[in-house]
Order: sequence, then C-alpha cells, then structure tokens
Amino acid sequence: MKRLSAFVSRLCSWFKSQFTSRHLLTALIEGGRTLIAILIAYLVAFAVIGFVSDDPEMAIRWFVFGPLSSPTEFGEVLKNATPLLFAGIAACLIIKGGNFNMFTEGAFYAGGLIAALAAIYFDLSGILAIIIPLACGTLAAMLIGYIPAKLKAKYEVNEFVSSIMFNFIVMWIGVWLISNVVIDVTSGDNATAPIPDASRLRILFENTNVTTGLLIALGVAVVAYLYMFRTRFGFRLRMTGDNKAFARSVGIDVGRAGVSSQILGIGVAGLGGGLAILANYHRFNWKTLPGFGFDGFMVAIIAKNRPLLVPFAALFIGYLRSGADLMAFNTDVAQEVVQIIQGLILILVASEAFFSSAWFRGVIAKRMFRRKQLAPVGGVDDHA
Amino acid sequence: MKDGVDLDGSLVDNATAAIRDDRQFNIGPFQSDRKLDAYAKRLAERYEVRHESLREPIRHLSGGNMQKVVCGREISACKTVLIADQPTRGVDVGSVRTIHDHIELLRQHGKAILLISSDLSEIRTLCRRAIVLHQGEIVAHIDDLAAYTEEELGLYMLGLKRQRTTEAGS
Repeated sequence: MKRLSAFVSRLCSWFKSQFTSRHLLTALIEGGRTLIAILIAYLVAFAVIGFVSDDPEMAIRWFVFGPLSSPTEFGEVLKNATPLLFAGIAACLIIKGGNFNMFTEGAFYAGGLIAALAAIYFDLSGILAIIIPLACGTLAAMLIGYIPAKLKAKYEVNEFVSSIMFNFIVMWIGVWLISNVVIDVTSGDNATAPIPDASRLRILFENTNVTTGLLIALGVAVVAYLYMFRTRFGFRLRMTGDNKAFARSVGIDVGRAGVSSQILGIGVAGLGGGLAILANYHRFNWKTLPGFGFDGFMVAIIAKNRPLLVPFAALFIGYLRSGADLMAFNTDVAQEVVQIIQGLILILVASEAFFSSAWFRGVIAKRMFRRKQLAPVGGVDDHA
Repeated sequence: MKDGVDLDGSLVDNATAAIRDDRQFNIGPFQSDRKLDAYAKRLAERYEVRHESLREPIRHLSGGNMQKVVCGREISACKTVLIADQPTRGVDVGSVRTIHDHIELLRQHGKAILLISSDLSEIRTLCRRAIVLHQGEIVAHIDDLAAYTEEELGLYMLGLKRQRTTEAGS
C-alpha cells in the first residue's frame, strides 16, 4: 500500500514535470498545426475531386469513410500502415542522429529479398522459419548500410547522395538475381520460388490481411523509444544529432554515434522489408524500389521524430492510402488523380514551415491567452 | 553557445551531459531518469538557474542562465583539471559570486584549475598564481598575486613593463 502510494505520487510528479503550462501550449500548437494542415489538405483534395468526378459526393464518401466501412477495409489500413511504421521508426533513428541516410529504401528491398531467399532455401520449420529469415534480412541490410554510414563518418562523404546510389545498386543486383539466378520459371514472372507456408506470418484477425507483423512493428516502436530516450546510447545519438560540436565537447564519439544511429535505422527498415514480404507476398517479385523508405521520412516528419507518435502517423498515411485506393476502385476518379491528391495532402501535412512557428504561436498566444500574459521564462533582466 | 549547450535539448539533457556514463545513473542499459532529474535539479538550485521546468528546451532560458548550466555541469563533473575560459562573462552579478564560490570549492578539494579571463577582479579573487599575456606573449609569471597591485598588473597587461626573460621563464 505504501509502495503503491509512493508510486502514484511519483507518477503525479512525473506528469507535472511533463505537462507544465508551456509544455501543454507547445504540444497544443504543434498538434494543432498538424491538424489544420490535414484539414486544409482534405479541402484541397475535395476540390480536386469535385473538379474531376461526376459524382463527387460518392467519391468523397469512399475516400473518407471507405476505410472505416468494414473490418476487412480497416484491416487494409493496418496492413498498409505496418511497413510505414517500420520505415517511420527507421527514419526517426536516422534523423535524430543528425543524418539523412536514404538507404532505408534499399534496406527494405534488401531485407525483403534476403528474408525471402533465406525462407525458401533454408526451409526451416516452427518459429525458426520466421526468425531466421528476418534476422538474415535485417543483418544483410545493416551490412550494406554500414558502407554509406561509415563513408560519412570517416571521409565526410555526403550520406544522402551515396545512400541513394546504394539504393539503386542494391535494387539492380536484386532484379538481376530474381531474373537470372533464383528465378522460378514456373511462376511466369521474374520472381523467386514460393515462400514456404511455415515462413508466412499468421493472420491476426479473421477476414483481414493483418498479420503478426503489426505487433512486431508496435514492439519495435516501443523499443526505439526506450533506446532513444532512456539509454545512454540514445542520449549520445540525440546530442550528436542536435549539435555535433556540443556532443564532441562533452566527450561523445560523434562518428560512432552517427554510424550506429544509421545502422540501427537501416536494420529496422530491413526488418520491415522482411516482414512485408513474409506477411503479404507469395514470392519475392519486387522489380522497383518499394518506396517505403522515402515514405518513412514523411511519417517521421509528421510524427515530429517521436517514435511513440510514429504509429499514429503511419496509421494516418495507411488510412489515406486505403481511402484513395477504394475511391479509385469504386468511382470514376482515376488512380492518377488519387496520386495527385495523396501528394498534395502529404506536402501540406509534412511541410513543417507551412505554419511558421513564430507566427502561429503569436496568433494562438494572442487569441487564447489575451488575459493571462505568459511570463517570459528565465527572466529578461539577466545581463545576458 | 555552439559548443556549450544543445539548444534543443532539455535542461536535464544539458546539465547531465558530462556525467551520463557514470555508473550511478545507469541501471543496465537504461538510465535512471529519477537520478538524472535530481542531479539536474540540484545543479539548477545551486547555480540559481531560473527555469520553469526541467524538461523545457534550454533555448527558452536566457543566455546568462544557460551559461550557469554550462559552468555548473563542468564544475560538478570535474575530475582533476578544470580549464575555465571566461566562465562568468555575461552572467549576472549574483551568479558570478556563485560560480566563483564553486570554483573556489574545487580548489579546496585539490583540483587544478586553469582560469583564462580578461576580468582582472575575477583573477584576483580566484587565483594565486598568474601568467600575464600581452599580444600572445608571456610578459610576467606571478607566483604571489596578492603582492601585486592592480596598477602593476595593468602595466604588464599593457606591455609597458615586462619581466626579464629569465624571470618570465619562457
């Protein structure tokens, strides 16, 4: 009983320290900015739909309510969100470490390919049939991803450029493999042999395509949060990302912190690629980059680089995509228009600068806190 | 400010940056938030850092308060040698006193302190020995600072007077 009350009081003080008035205000403003951006994006989308569709009401209905209309459809949302969740976490780790390594894209590809090959050729059984391929895919992605990361740390090679190059190297090696080496001619496609049933992920809910991959994704989000905000390695990562000069001056090995953040992010992406293949594909047949890696950066931006917000951002993008798919399938709005609308929404939502923080903060503060003047923190009377 | 603080980091992040690897703040791979918070809180109290919450980004603090955090962090984490370059520039008068007291305390604990300062009164309160530089050159080694008047030191600083090379020892 005593321990319980001590725990409760600790919890209360923790909440108090987390949510001071200024904190709440900042959170409100940031959340409000994102919400308003989404709202405007939807209005623009509705306008576009109104232009191109003969029955805009129907199209909008499918777009907005379609994904929520049945458990199966909502299952599609979750299915779409799962790889985005991995990609978002990967991007969080990489951005927070102060890098812009785009190899998450290639990592998805490599992770998927290697996981598929391991599943097919090792032919394991039981839980190992899932764990071993995923581990192989993750490790392969991390090994390749080590190269651009190390090049950046050691020789100041721009990781953005080199990682994009690596994406294509990995992709074309993969395409060559599935067209020449590991091709299964009976498939009538450039694809590998079928992935054995033992390696396929179990369906979580009946009548949906939601697999256990979703649970793993949520687990990864929590682990990433703990790593970044609760361990000393995460501290080094964050300080290096925020201010390299500072990190160096307090004794952090910034090169190592940068490399490890990129490797971990790429590992998460590789795992996501492996899971995407084991969850939703019968054979590995990707002939282009899947695009999840790039989407991941968008998810991370919407989630403000906070791992625990990533699931919500991923869910939102998944919902958007499912709605767009349903609208394209069921109405006269062409798939291309849907792509345009998606792009618009994503630009608006993702653009941090859309509401310049100072301006928006000023408006909110004036409107909401006109009576209660916010005292400047720290005081301006210091001779600074 | 570029090297001293992480503007986006919280007060806790900045105040504890130098002691994060200390064993007492780590439980296995995890860090004890409670202990880190307590450490930062103690530091903020000792150095009179005016803040609203331990979690707010340090960029919300004024420059003087930021500097107090930096001084506090480095003085508290000092193991054997402290090199302090203009530790109190831009800090308000009351806090200068606090920082000086803590540096003094460090000296009493037998730590070596190299103070670099352009504030003569600061040097006179803190130092026993001093080296006077004029245009990058050593012009005087002073072993007993209290025996010199400000005027004498001023002459050295302006380069109007210098010890003979043997005396200056360079």
